[in-house]
Amino acid sequence: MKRAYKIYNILVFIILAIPLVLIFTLPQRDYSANENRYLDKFPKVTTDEIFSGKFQDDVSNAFNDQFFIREQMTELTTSFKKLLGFKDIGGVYIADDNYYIAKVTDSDISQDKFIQNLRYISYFAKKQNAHVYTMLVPSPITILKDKLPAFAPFYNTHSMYNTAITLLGESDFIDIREILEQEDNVFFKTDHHWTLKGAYTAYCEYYKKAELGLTKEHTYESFNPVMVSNNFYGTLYSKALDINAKPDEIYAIYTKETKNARVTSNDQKESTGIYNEESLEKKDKYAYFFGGNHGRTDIDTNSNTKKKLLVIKDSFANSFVPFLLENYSHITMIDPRYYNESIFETTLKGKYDHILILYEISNFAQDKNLYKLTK
Amino acid sequence: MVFSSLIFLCIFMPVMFAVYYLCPAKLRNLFLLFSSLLFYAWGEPVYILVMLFSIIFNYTFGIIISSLKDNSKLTKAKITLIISIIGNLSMLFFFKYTGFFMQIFIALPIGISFYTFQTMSYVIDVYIGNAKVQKNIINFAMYVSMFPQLIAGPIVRYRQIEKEIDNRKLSDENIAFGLQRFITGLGKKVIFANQVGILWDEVYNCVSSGTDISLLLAWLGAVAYTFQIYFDFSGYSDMAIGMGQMLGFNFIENFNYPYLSKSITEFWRKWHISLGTWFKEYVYIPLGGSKKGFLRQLINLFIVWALTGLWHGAAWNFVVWGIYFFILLLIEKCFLLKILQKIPKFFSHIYALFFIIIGWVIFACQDFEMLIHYLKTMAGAGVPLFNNYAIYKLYTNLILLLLMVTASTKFPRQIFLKLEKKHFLFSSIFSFIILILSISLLVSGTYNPFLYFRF
Repeated sequence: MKRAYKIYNILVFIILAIPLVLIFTLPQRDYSANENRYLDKFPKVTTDEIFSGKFQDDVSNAFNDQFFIREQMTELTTSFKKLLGFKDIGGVYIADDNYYIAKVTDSDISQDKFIQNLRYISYFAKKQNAHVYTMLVPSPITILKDKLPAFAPFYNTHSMYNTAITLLGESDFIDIREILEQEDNVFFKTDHHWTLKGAYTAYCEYYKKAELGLTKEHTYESFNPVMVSNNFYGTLYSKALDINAKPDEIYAIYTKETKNARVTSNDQKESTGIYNEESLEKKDKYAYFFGGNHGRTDIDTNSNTKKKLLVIKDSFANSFVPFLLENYSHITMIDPRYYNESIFETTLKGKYDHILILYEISNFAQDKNLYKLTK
Repeated sequence: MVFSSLIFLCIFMPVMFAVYYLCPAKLRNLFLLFSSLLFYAWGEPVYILVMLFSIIFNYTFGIIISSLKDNSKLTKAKITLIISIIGNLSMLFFFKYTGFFMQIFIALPIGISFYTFQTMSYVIDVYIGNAKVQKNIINFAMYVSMFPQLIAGPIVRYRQIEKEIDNRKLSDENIAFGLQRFITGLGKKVIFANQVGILWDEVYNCVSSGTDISLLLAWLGAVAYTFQIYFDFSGYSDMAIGMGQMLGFNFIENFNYPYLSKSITEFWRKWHISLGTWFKEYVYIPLGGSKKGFLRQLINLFIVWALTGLWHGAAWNFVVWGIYFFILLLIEKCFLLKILQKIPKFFSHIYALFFIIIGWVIFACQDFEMLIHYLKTMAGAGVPLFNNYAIYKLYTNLILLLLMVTASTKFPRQIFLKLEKKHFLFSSIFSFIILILSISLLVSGTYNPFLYFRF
C-alpha cells in the first residue's frame, strides 16, 4: 500500500510539471489561427514592472497562451460542457444538423445605433443621383431558428426589418428573409457567412428589384458553381472548438466573366483575379473571395453594358458580387471599416448608376463606420 | 497567486513541493517561509511590507507580553495586549474600511483579514496562556505567511499548529491524501463554482437590466450563487487543508456539509467554522457570552454578527447580512428551534435552505436598490412566473445543478468509504480525471478567440 501512495504522488507531480518542462523546451508560438490573434510571450524582467505587478501578469498570460495542447484541452472542455447539457459554448449555439449558430440576443443589439445607421443611409440616398438599394441579410439565427436548441433566446429581427422598411421605403429596400427561408444550405455550418447558394438566392432578388434585364438564363447551375474546398472550419467552429464539427464545403462560380474580371484594391497594387487561391491553404478560407476585405476594390468586366455599380458592404458581399459581373461594366466595392476617404465624394465622382448597401443585419446594427456615408 | 491558476498549479506547486521534500527537515520552515513570501509577493509586490510589518509587530508583542507575564506584571501585560489588539485592528481598519467610512480608495492587501485574525489569535493566546511564546522569528513568520491558508483561510489559530511548527511528520500516505484533498478542492472551484458562476452572472445582468426576467430566473440565479459561493469557498478550504497535509500540518475543517442543515443555528456551526470559532473564542466569550444574563447575551450576539458581517467586506450589505442572521438566530433561540426539531426534517430543511438562499442574495447584491429589485423579482412582483429564457437556462444547467446537489451531501464520500480496500485506487483514478478536467477548464478559460465576428 505504501508503494501505491508513492506512485500516486509521483504521477500527480509529473502531470503538474509536464507543462513547465515543455514550456522551456518547445519554441514559443507567435500566432493562434483559430483565435485570430497573436499569443503572449514571456516578457523581459524589469524592476519597475515587478513592483507594479505587470511582469507577473505578463508571465501568467504568456504561460497560459504558450500552454501545450491548448486547443486540444479546449476541445476536451467543449466535449465536457456538451456532456453536461450546455447548449451554447463560447457564444455559439450547438444547433441541430451540425450547425453552429452565433448567439445574438436582444441585449447585443442597440436599436438606437441601428436606427442611426439607417438614417445615415437615408441621408446618403437623398444626395445621390444613383439609385440606392439596401439589402440587409438576415442573421443565421433568424433563418435557422428551427435548428436552435429548445427555448434558446435570440434577438427579434422582424421589428428591425419593419423599422428599416419604414425608414428607407419599400421600393429601395430588398427584403430577402422569405426567399432565404425557403432554401436549404444558405449558411455555412461552421461559419457566420452565407454560402454561395445563399448569395445566389439574394442575387436573384436584387436582380428583380434593380431590373437588370435578362441577358441570359441565370439558374444557379448556369453560373457553373465549383467546389474549391471541402475542408473549411469557419469562425463559429473556432469559437466553440467542437471536436465533432464537420467541415464545410466552399463553392465559387466559374464563368467567362469571372475569368476575365480585372481586380485592383487600394491595398494591393497589382491587378488580381476575383479569387485568391492562397486563402484555401489558410484558416480563413472565406477569404478566397477577393482575398478578404479591402477598403476599396475595383472590378473591370467585359460586360456589354455601360452600367456602373457601387457596393458599400461588409464581407457578405464578397461571395455575392461575382454573380453581378455580367450586369455591370465596372463594380466598385467599398468597405467603410477600412476606407478612410470620403465615401460621399467617391460616390459622386464615380458616376454610378446603382448603389447597393449590403450588410448582414446584426453586423449593420453594430457598425460604427457608417457615418462615413455622410462625410 | 491563486491556487486555481495554471501558474500556481504547474509552476509554483511542483517546484515548491519538490524542493520542500528534498530539504533537510531543519531547513523546511525557512524554505516554507521563503516560498510563502514569494507566493505573496507575486500578487502583492508592495503590500508584502504590510504583512512583514504585521509579523514583526506581533512577534515583538508576543515576547513582551510573555516576559511581563513571567515577571507577574499582569496589568502591564493586559495593557500591552490591548495595545497590540488596537494596533492590529487599526491596520485592518485602515486598509479595509477607510474607503467605507470616507470616500478614499485604498487597495486591500490580499489576505489581510485572514492573517490579522491569525496574528491576533496568537497574541491573545499567549496572554491567556493557551499558547507558548514563539521566540524564533522564522517560525513565527512562517506561521503567519504560510501560503496554503494565507489568502482565503481557514483561519488557523496559532495554538492549533503550535506543536507541528517544530515537529511534523511527512509520509507518503499523508501526501497522497493531501493531494487528493487538494484536487477535490480544485475541482469544486474550477468545475462547479466557476461554471455555475457564469449562470449567476448572466441572471444578475438580466435582473439588473430588466430584460428577460421571471420569478423562475431569479430563483435559478439565487440557487446558482448559493452553489457558487459554497463550492468556491469550501473548494479553496479543501485546497488549503490538502496542501497543509502535504506539508505535514493538520488544519481544522472549515465546512461540514452546511447545506444539509435544518436550522440557521446549525448552518452557522457548519459554515466557515474557523471564523465562527474565532468570533466565539475571541469576542463572544470574552464579552461574557451567555453568562451575564439574557440582555447581555443579546448585545453580545448582536456585536458578533455585526462584526461577522463587516468582516466579509466593507459595504453596508454585509452589515445587513450579518444582522439578518442575528435576527434569525435570535428567533431560533427564543422558540423556533424547538418547533424545527419537532416538525418533519424535510420541512425544517426547506426552511433553512430558504433563508440561506435569501441570505446569499443579500450577500451578493452590494447595491441596495439592486438587492430590493432582486428580492422583488424573486417574489414575482411585476414579472411572469417563468419565461423561455429561464426554461433554457434551467434545462441546460440541470445536470450541473444536480451534480452540485449531490456533491453538497455526504453521499459521494459514503460511496468511496464503501469501497474500503479499493478505496485508494478508485479515489486516485477519480482525482486524475478531476485534475485533467480542471486544468483543461483553466486552459480553455484563456482560449480567447478574437474573431471579429462581424467581418
